[in-house]
Parts: sequence; C-alpha cells; structure tokens
Amino acid sequence: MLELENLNKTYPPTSGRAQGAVPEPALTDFSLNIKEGEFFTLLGPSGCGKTTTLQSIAGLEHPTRGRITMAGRTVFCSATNTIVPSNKRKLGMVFQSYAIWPHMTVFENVAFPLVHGHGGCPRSEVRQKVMGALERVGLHDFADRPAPYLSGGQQQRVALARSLVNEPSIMLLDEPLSNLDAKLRDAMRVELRDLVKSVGTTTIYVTHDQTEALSMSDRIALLNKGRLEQLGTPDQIYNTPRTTFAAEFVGSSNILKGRVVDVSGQRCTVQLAFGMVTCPVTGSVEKGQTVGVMVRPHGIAINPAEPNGANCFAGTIRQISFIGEFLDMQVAVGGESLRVFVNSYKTHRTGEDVTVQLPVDLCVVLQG
Amino acid sequence: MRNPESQSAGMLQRIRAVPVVTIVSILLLALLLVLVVAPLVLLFRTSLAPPGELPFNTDVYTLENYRSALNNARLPTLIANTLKYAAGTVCIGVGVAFTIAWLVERTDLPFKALIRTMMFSWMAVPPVVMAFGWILLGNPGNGIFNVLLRWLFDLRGAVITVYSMKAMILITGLAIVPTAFTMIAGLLRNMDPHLESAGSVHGASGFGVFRTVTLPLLVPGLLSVGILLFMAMVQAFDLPLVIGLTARAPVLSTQIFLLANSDISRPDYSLTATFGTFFLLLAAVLMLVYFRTVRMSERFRVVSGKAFRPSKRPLGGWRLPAIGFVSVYFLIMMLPFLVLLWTSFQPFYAVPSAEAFGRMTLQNYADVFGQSFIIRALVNTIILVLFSATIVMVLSVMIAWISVRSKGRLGKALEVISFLPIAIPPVVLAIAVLLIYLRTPLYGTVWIIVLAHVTAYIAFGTRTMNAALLQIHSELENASFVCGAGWFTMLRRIIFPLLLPHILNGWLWVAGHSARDITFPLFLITSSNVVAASQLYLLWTTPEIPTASALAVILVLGLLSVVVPVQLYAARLESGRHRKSRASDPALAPAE
Repeated sequence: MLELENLNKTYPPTSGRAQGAVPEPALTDFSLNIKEGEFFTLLGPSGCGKTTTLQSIAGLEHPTRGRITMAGRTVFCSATNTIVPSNKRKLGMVFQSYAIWPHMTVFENVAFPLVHGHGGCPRSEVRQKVMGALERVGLHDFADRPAPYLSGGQQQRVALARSLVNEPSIMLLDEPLSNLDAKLRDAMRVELRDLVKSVGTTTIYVTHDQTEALSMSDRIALLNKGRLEQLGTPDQIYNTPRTTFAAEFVGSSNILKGRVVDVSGQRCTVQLAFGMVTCPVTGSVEKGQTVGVMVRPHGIAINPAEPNGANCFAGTIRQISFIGEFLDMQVAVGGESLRVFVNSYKTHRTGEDVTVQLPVDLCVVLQG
Repeated sequence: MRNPESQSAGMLQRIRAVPVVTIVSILLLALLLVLVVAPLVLLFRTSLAPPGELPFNTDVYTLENYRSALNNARLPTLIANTLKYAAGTVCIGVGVAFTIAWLVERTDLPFKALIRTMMFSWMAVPPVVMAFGWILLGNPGNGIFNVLLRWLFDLRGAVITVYSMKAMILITGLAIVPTAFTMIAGLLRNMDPHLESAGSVHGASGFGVFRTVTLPLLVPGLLSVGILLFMAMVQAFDLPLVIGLTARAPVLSTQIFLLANSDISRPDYSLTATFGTFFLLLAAVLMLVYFRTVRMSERFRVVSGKAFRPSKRPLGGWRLPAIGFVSVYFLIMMLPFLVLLWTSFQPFYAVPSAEAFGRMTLQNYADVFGQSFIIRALVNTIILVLFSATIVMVLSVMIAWISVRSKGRLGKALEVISFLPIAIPPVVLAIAVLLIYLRTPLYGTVWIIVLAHVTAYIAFGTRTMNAALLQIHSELENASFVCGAGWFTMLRRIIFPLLLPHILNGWLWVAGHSARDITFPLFLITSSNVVAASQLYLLWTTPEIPTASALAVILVLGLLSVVVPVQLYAARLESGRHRKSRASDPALAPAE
C-alpha cells in the first residue's frame, strides 16, 4: 500500500551560530512497507526522524534521496525528479496542534477538504458528508460553533473529522494526543483506534509515547537517529527488543553487561558481574561475545519458591519507593543494582536480604 | 553538506513540486528588482555622468560630480545640520514618548484607551499641516504667540520665532512622539513582570527595581527604537522644507530638493544624484548600526509568547501631575490644528479677536470644492491612497509568506530586497524614480506616485506581515495543503482571514503615510498629477493661506474618518480573537 524505499534526508545547514557545521542526516536509508488498512506507528525519541518521515509522506518536506509509492503511484522519486505536491496526494492528516482554523466554524473546517480538495464533491452532498463525519466523532451538535470555542478534546475530534471526511487513502496522525491532559489522553487512545479501524483507512501514527504505540498499533517501527532500529508488533518490540536502545526506550529495563561463555542449542550462558545467567538464544550469539542481558523490573522474582533454581542470586534491598500500583525497589546484587517492581501488597523493608531470580524465559540477550 | 549538483537538483524538484509558489516568487523578485534596484542603479550611473547630463544622453563615466560635491564648502555644514536635527528630535521624541508610554502601560493612569486611540489617530495629521499651524502660531511677524506676548508684556519685535533650528527640532520632536509611543508601549507591554517582581522580592525598593532591573532590560530595545527614529529623521523632508528653508537651516534632503528644483537654472540631475549617493551611504551606515543594536537587543529578549498582565503601579500623589503632563502634550499637539481650523473660516489670516470672529465665512471651503484643480487633486489623492495601500499589502502578504515559510534562496532574496528601501532616503528614491521614468508615459500621471509609494512602503509592509505571520502556526497552512487546497486558495481562505487585523493596520499605516507624504508628489510633480498634499504646499507658497487651511482641515478630517473607524474595527477584531483563543485553552474550557 505505502512503500518507502531508501529515504535519505539531510537538512541544509542552518545559518547562524552553527554555521558551516555539517548537520546529522535526519533519515538514513530508511525503508518501510505498510499494508492496506494497517495501523502503523513510527515510534522514537525527538529528533529520530519520525516527523521527517511523516512530513515526507505528506509531501510537506522532501527527502534528499529515495522513493515513496502510494497504492502503486509514485508520489516522490529523487531519481526521476517526481514530486506530487501535497494537495494532490489524497491524504488526511491530524496535526500535533490540530491546526483547526480559528476563523471558521466547525462545519467550515470540516467542509474544507470537500470544497477545496480533490475529488470535487458536489455542493449538495457537502452538508450530508460533513454531518456524517461530525456524527462519527460525536460532534454533530457543534457544527455551527466557531472553532476557537472548543476544548482541546473537541478540537481534536474536529481535526479527525476533517481528515476523514474526504475518504483519504492514507491517514497521517502526528502526535495527536500529546496536547491533551493525561485522563483525556487515555480515553482518546481507545476511541481514536476504534474510529480509525472502523473506517478502515491505512493509518500512519507518529508518537514518542510508548504506551500509545504499544496499545494502538498493529505494527511499530522504532526509529533512532534516522535509522530503523526495530520493526515488529507491539508484543515483539516490548518482549524481545533487539538492541540496548530498544530495550531502554520502550518500558523500564535492567541491562546487565556480560560475556557469553557458552552456547548450546536454544540456551546460552552469560557471565555477569555477579554470576552466570542462562538466557534463551535470539539471533546470532557467539561464544566470547560481549552482550547486554535485559530483564524487565517486573519480570524479576523476589524470594522464589525454589531458592536454588536457575538464575537465582542473593541480594539486599537498598531502597523502596511506594508507587501505589507496585513497589519500586533497588536491590543490590553483587556490585550491581537491579530495579525490581513487586506487588505493593507485599511487605518489604530496606536492608532486608532476599533472593532474586531472573527467570530464564524473561531474559533477553541484546545485540549492541 | 549537499554538493552543488544535488542543490540544483533540489531546485528542480521544487520547481516541479510547487510550481505556483515558485512562479509567483520569481515574478515578485522581478517586480522588486524593477521597483527597487533599477532606480538605484540608474541613480549611481547618473552620478557618474558629466555634470548636467542625463545618463541616456551620454556614455562617458567621470568622477567630476564627486569632486565638485566634495569640494562644496557647504557639505560639512549640511551633514552637521542633518545630524544635529536628527539627534535633537529623537531625544525629545523618545523622552516624551517613554514618559507617556510608561504612564499608560505601567501605572494606573486613567483614560488609557483614549490616549492610545489619540496617539494612533495622530498619524492622520500630515507633518506639513502641523508645520503650517506652527508657522501661523509662531512666525516672527503676526504669529499668535508673538502678538499675545507683545500685548501682555509690552514688548516689541519678534519675541519667539519658528524659523530657527531649535524651534524646528522642538516641533519635529513633538511630532514624532506618537510613532515613538507606539513602539515603546509595545516594548513595555511585552516585558515579563516576573522579572521585576523577582527584584522586589529580593529586597529592592520601587525605584531600585526600576533602576536596576527595568531600565537595563529596556535599554537595548529603546536604543533600537532610537536608532530607527534617528534614521527616519535623517531622511525627513517635509518639516525641513517648510520651516528649515526659511530658517536658513538646510539639511541633506532639502539641499537635494533645491538642486533638483532650482528656480534660476535648469535642474542639475547629475550633481543631485551625487548628493543622493552620499545620502544613501549615510543611511546605509545607520542601517548597519541599527542591525547591530537589534542583534544585541535580541540577546536581552524578555518577550515571552505568553500573554500576561503587567503589574500596574499606583500613581498616588503623582496622579494629577501625570494627567497634567499628558494633557499639556495633547494640547500642544492640538494647537496647530486649531489655528488652521480658525484660519480656514477667515477671509484672510488674522489673530483671533471679536472683530475677526465677525468675519467668519465658509467661502474658503466653497473655493476648495469649487475649483477644478483642487477637485482633481482630491480625486488623485483618493486613487493614490487606495491603490498604494492595497498594492503594498497584497504584495507584502505574498512576499512575507514566501520569505518566512520557504527555505529556498528565492525567499531569502525576496526578504532582503524588499527590506532595502528602508535604507533609501525618500528624496533619493524620488530622484531615482524621476530619472528612470522621466521619458515614459507614466511620468506626469498619478500612477508614478503610486509606484514610488509602493516602493517606499513595501519594506514596512513586509516587515509587519513577517512578524504577524511568525505568530501563525505553519500547521494551519499545511493542513490546508493536505486537505487538497492550492497555494492561492490557502492564501485566500487561511492567511488573509487570519492576518486580517494586521493587514488592516498595515493598510492604514500605508494609506496614512501615502496621503501625508509630500516628498514624492513634489519631486514628481507636473500639472496633471497634483495630490492634496502637494496642492496644499502650492497653495501655501502662493500664498493663499485661508484656502490652504481649508484644504488642510479637509485632508485631516478625511483621513481621521478613515483611520479611526478602521483602527477601532481592527482592534476589536483582534481582541475578539484573543478572547476566543483564551477560551479555547484546555485549562479554561468547560469540562467535556
């Protein structure tokens, strides 16, 4: 449906203070293939190139090199100098600031793509289509309200209605939830996904918020410094991160440096600072290689039923923070400090000696 | 970094991608080159022509004019006079304006809205009209002040006179207060009051905070306002013409006018062009100084985007003196207009008395509306004002959008060229425009003045539109592109409506300045393109003082009747938007 091939983007050097400095490329050989009807998320920290990618798809920014194809139609190609301008790409887009035009009413905002956009909607159908779109987002009673008299959540719905009304082939969502307060964000997350899924449009969603990415997407592309770090389903990204960056960016993690001392079948043994751990093998692991072993704080068991099982170590609780839903503890094991989340109904105290277990299946060997 | 090849490839891509914007930018660039750059090139060429020759008639290049200009014994006096005049007026103007602006913005002075409206409306009063009023008030012969003082103290001769450098400085200084007020009030309004609160929380007294926090923070801003006004005053032409020539205090701008409009010999355009080149250099140097200062004041920027309410200091016992000071200023500003109003009802100029009161007549107004050449001047003025203001604003919005939003070189070039005219003194531009269009059918029509005004005011237009556009989130425009709208649709449906208050204010400014300007109308004058301002000058020098007074009153009232309502409308439009956008703040909006 949507193909990005070897996108490269370097912004021209900014004049002024850093004059002459060669800027880091915003995108390096970035390729993706997004399927019809998919809810696809570009996830990454700020400056990772996710917004550049989205802007390139929208045609608001042009890659230095590469090719973008939408449903078989090349909309950008540096080799043949093809650029289809933004207004000819048949897109729907929700901007980070919503970009609701303050001098128009809700109705006028939503009608804009029909009146000025592609497809040439006959005047008689405009009203019906706009009201249909507003109905979808639950704002049909607000049609005649001037746009500035809307709350943040309502503005967001108007932006959604506007991007849906002309039945675009691809919907682009640029951090649409980042300007909402926490409670509303939780509610909108579910609503947004249901709405987009019910329309069935291919959706590209940009966010730096891992919760949004994990809970909403069919697939996630994790970006770092303009490169694709990892591509996969939310489950894959969270449970089997490939790299230290992926492990640290998505969720909390303990990453322990070590060296592989033995590989046998599906298991390998890694020598850590405080002892040996057994881990499942993912990807290519070689004997003697320096690796990181990642285990999530809530994966670690405290005082397991079998104190002498695999990957069990003696430790001391150094610090406890009561978070409410869980206890956030620092446990010293050997010279290292492990972060462990435990059920907050358990009672622990600082200085207590405990046994910690890093369950074999929950340990992940990271590449670099 | 991209190599030149891929950069030219990038250019190609852009041409194919956004053909409309690129075509428009190229057209605008060509237009600006013709409007701004071509006259200057010709001016420079003329200065290198043999004395007395026009550049079309010769292919000789000589430095003869520069030699004679530099050997001119009066050149040092001219430059000294110009600098003295500019420095004096700026000191008075900024001093008075700062006091009033501080009272209005930072204290509990009453009638703030009235003061702001009056300051803005003052734009409608042309400086020539003010000068005529002052001449009637203070001329050494039968000026009202002199007659009054002689009668009161039994004196003889001219007690005071407007015909002196000092009087000219004082009058101009007071006349630029409204302009300075607008700029300084903006500075004061945008200052974060927390910086001052921090000072007083940590133990400084009221005056201590003013001295150690407020003033140092304002100095860079005030300095840049001062230099900007200094630049404008170096270039000023109207008051030095009306008062300065009689006072025998010539400045560079009036000297150039005399050279180009000599009564005794035919105009020496090449020497004029040479003086113009010198003048241009002086203005360019000042421009560089200005940019330095602005860059410095950027570092001190304490303007945050947040809307806040600056703390208002209670005046207490100073309330009455403060009101008195502001009232006296407005009274002084009203006097020249009042005396013109009085004279416009008199058959000949006379000091107000019971006897003169009996001679009141409407004959002067009948004269104004009865004479075909004055009617034509009024019609010309309306054409001039409407077209130059509208053309300037339409071009400005497009140029500003391209230079703010497009990252290409075209945008940069447009920005720089549209800003150039700020450094060109009006007299120099007038000479340059005259030289280039002298042989075209445009010469002698009102359209040549329209053209000159568009050139002169495009810098102001693009600068204000640039600033206004920066406050608009670019996503609002991108949203319309993604929705399928083209560039012109975006401008028409998004940018114009959003910028409307700013566009209206800019339009008013240009319209006001276009109507009051006498530089271009006088330099480019023929019998067929006289406008109200130049007609006023002609009547005054004839002299037909009462008819001139009547025309002045009509001009001022006409301008006021446009400026005040449009300004009020724009202000309401803007405050309405602000109120609404505050209502849309999620924190303040009603819960869903």
